[in-house]
Amino acid sequence: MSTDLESLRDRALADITAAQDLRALDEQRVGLLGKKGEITSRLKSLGELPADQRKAAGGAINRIKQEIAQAVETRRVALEQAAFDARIAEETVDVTLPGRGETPGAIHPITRTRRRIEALFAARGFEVVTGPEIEDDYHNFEALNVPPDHPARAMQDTFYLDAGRLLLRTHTSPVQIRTMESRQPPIRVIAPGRVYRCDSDRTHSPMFHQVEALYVAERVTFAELRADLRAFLEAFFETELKLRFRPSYFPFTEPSAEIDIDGKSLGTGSGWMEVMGCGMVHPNVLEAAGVDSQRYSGYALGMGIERLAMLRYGVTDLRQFYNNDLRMLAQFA
Amino acid sequence: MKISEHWLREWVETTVDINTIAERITMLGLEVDTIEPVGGAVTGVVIGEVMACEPHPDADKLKVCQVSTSDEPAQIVCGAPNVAAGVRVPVATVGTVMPSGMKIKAAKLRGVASNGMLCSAGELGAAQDTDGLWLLPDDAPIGASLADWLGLPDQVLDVDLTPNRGDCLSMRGVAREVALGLDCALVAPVITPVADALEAAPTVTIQAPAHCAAYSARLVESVAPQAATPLWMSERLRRAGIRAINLPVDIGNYVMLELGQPMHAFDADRLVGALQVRLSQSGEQIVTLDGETVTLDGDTLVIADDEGPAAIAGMIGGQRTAVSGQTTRVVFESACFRPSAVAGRGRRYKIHTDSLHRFERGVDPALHEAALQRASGLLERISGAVCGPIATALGEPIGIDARRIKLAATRVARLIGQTMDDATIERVLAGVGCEFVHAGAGQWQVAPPSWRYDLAIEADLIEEIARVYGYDRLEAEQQGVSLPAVSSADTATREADITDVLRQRGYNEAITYSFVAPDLHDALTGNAAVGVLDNPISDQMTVMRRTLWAGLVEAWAYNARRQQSRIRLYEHGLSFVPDKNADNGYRQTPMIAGLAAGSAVPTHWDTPSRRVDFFDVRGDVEALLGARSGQLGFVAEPHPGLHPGRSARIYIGARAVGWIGQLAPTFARRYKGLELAYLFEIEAGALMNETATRFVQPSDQPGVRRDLALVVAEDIPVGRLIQVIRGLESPLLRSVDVFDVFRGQGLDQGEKSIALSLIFQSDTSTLDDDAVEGITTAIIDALRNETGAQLRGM
Repeated sequence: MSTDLESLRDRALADITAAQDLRALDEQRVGLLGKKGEITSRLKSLGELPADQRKAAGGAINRIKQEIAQAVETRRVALEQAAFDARIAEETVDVTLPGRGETPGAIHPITRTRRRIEALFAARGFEVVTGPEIEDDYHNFEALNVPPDHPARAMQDTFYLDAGRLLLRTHTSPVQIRTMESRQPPIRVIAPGRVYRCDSDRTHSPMFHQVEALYVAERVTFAELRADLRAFLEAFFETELKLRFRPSYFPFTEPSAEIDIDGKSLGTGSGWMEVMGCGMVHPNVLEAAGVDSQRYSGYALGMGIERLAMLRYGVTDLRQFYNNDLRMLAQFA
Repeated sequence: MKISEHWLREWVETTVDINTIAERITMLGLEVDTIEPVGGAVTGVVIGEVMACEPHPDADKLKVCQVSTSDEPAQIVCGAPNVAAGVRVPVATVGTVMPSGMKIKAAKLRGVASNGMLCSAGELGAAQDTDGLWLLPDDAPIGASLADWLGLPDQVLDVDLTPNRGDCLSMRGVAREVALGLDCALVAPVITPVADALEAAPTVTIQAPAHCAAYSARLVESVAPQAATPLWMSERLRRAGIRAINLPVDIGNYVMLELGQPMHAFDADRLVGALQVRLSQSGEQIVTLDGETVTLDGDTLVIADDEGPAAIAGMIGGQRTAVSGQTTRVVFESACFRPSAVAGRGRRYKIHTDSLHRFERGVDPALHEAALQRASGLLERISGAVCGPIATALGEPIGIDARRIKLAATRVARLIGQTMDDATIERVLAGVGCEFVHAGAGQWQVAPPSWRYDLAIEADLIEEIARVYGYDRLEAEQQGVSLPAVSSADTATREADITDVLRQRGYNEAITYSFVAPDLHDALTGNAAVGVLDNPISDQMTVMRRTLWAGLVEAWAYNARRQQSRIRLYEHGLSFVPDKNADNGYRQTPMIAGLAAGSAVPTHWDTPSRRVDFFDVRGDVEALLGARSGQLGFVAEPHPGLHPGRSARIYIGARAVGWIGQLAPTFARRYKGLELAYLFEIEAGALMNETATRFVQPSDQPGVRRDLALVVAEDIPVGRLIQVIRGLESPLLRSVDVFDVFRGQGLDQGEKSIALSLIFQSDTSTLDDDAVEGITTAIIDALRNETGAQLRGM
């Protein structure tokens, strides 16, 4: 190989290695191997050599051409990799930074509990019905077998308005009456909603929530009530429960019972905890609402949503449900 | 009802422990709330008198006492602050084991011998506090066993009675249930009639026979004035929660506790003429035992003499005829007033007494004479009094014992879902005191006992059978449920879905009270008419909200004052609007209301912080309507609670359904330092889909966009421009969007530039430029004519 060719090769390889980006490399490639490139020119000028030298010279130039092409390719791969690496480095994000956008708000634990109760009853064919919260004496008391001056009225401290003409419903039971007034059995409804009693401390709120369930049809029995209630409570608390049905008194049911859960079976400590009241709808109530009490029987049950929410979520002060502290609500988002 | 175990055990023959008794009657429906000790087993504690009390030579706080008991006087060192010569106190003698387990030994305290301990009530398990010695009455018998003298050990069961069980408001009544529950014998005390030693009898007449079934009275003379009530009696009263007053009154209360018959004692020397049971005359007055002057209505039953009312029947006696420390002649009253004669009167006169409590629930009509014998007998025995004959007047009978209730075993089975055999049914009926005769196979005619006012219909008897048999022993069986289709309109967007939209947009659900502070509510509503509670629980909870904002605003302030910088709350609940055309005079409408304050977006390292504004909240309201948000109209209208320049009434079509805006600047005084929140409130019903979606095939034809930059006067709302464009009802116009609002450079004062983008599309063909030009020109013309809008740069 001629010294000339050798120095060309050395210079070319040095330039290729020195190319800092693909454009510079391409310029080198064109300058050497392009149509007018130095190597191309030398190959073109082989014809000017004597015929006996052409083969050797051609071979030498082609070897250098190969060598240079190889170097260009190597350099290209290296530069592309570097460019890729640089791009990745540039595009890399700090994945530990917080995400963007709205933080969804919370559903109130009372509503969450109410929806759960509704869903469990809906699965057994109970339809959700509602009624007014400002009620009249007839629907809140009289139709429920609580005549004026009945001692049972003292069980519920009532808020009155318009000089005693109306009241705030003390329970969701008036919805029973309104439902039976407007349709005939079979009736299977639940009535969730706000109720009001004139009482306030750690365990009493002047406003709270109840769910009432009413099932009236031919041959509804106390046995069925007890079985349905156990099924509901065990589904709600997602565990087997030790329950007792304690005889009690509500003017609108007969027989009447209160349901106690053994705290041990709930994991909340020992002792019986009262969770709800229930019973067979009193014949006077059926008749007052226009349902034939000889033909039909029914059960009714009522529970405080707060009570169930407190047990399920470990809230200890009833009033916490109503101060709407975002730090409390956020726990239910 | 507080029941002393010690006393109860005199009534029932049983050895089972108190917890079992409590559990058993709880499961019969007499719920035992608590069992509190009155005093422990304190064998070895005797009653002693401190004869002398000298300072301890070596200790400031100790005293050296010489204490007399039955034995030799004992020297006892005592540190109680109330020890003094002359007091009678419990003395734990050497060898006594205290309820705490401590054994009393002879000892030396700072060098002085001490043989025993003077005790506090707490140390003996008779009270919570241990502050000082238990000072016993001066007639406490020295040397006697304290336990015997007090009736210890004892515990008190607090029974939470339901209002139907007035028959259990006595030892007799509770003992009946205990005997029933334990299947043991009931041992009622034998009441021996007291012989008539006097001739005189009170004259009694019943002038209101519908209200009083029976009235018995008896004169008792030679009552020792100021005769002391024996301790056993005052202790039983105390354990039942009744204060001892004087002997005749205490005996009356004792018999009430024992038998359930309320009694009253008059001072016979203060009665003038005959006793009459009559209705009051409106305006008549009586000064009660409490010293209160009560002005009576026209329908209150009273016991009157010739001077006027001497007692409000079954409720409270009058001061004029009350027994006092000087009384030597007593007239005892024992009556049966009908519950309806006294019901509601306590609330009316704001009087509640143990007597009224029992008469409201019904007192056994067969009891009054026996109770009178019992009371006069006790007075005779304790104070050596002598009695006259019992005078009884009768009114209309209560009629419980005349009740005949038909009971069928098939009805029992049908209601409780289980067949009960005849023997079980009859055992229960007999156990609760019913009399019955067979009325065919599996059928009975049942006469309930005179004390069970609550047994009136067959279902009541079925409950007796179920509760005595035991609810938890009954079968529980879930029926094969046939699921009726629960009607739930496919089209209804339910509350859950609607509020879900708000939660996804950062709103937290609040639940606030329906009754709110009147001043806040007035400010928010401009003093609109509102329902006011007669008996609010506080002066901040008096009016029924017309707007949910009242609660939300307070919840916002509560959180803002607790360093919450970004507050978004919503509530779903009723508003209460007085409306004479509505049921009961109130429209009770479900509303959804929201409040937003603070930062518009959550704090984020890459999102510029910005305060929430009208359009954030308007966007939230639009989101509530989803695909129907185009039906919403926002019209600037003033609202008393909102910023005059930042409030709008919300319409769906022509119907006003709500309000949106910023809290009025006048609220800045009330919520100092807080940036005033934005609010919205909308009828929940308006958000529900009323009709199912009808699908429309989307057009495959290309749409054409035209942008218009329009200059209009500042007072032309953008909504007006859109209204004009929509008013042309071009079938090709698919949408109008506002993409810029600009004021300033290149515009005159009082002008703004609005950039609108219009999308045109045909269902059937590709639009050509001419068609689009035609519509665009028509739009520009209409805008110019209607609003004075000019194309910018023209």
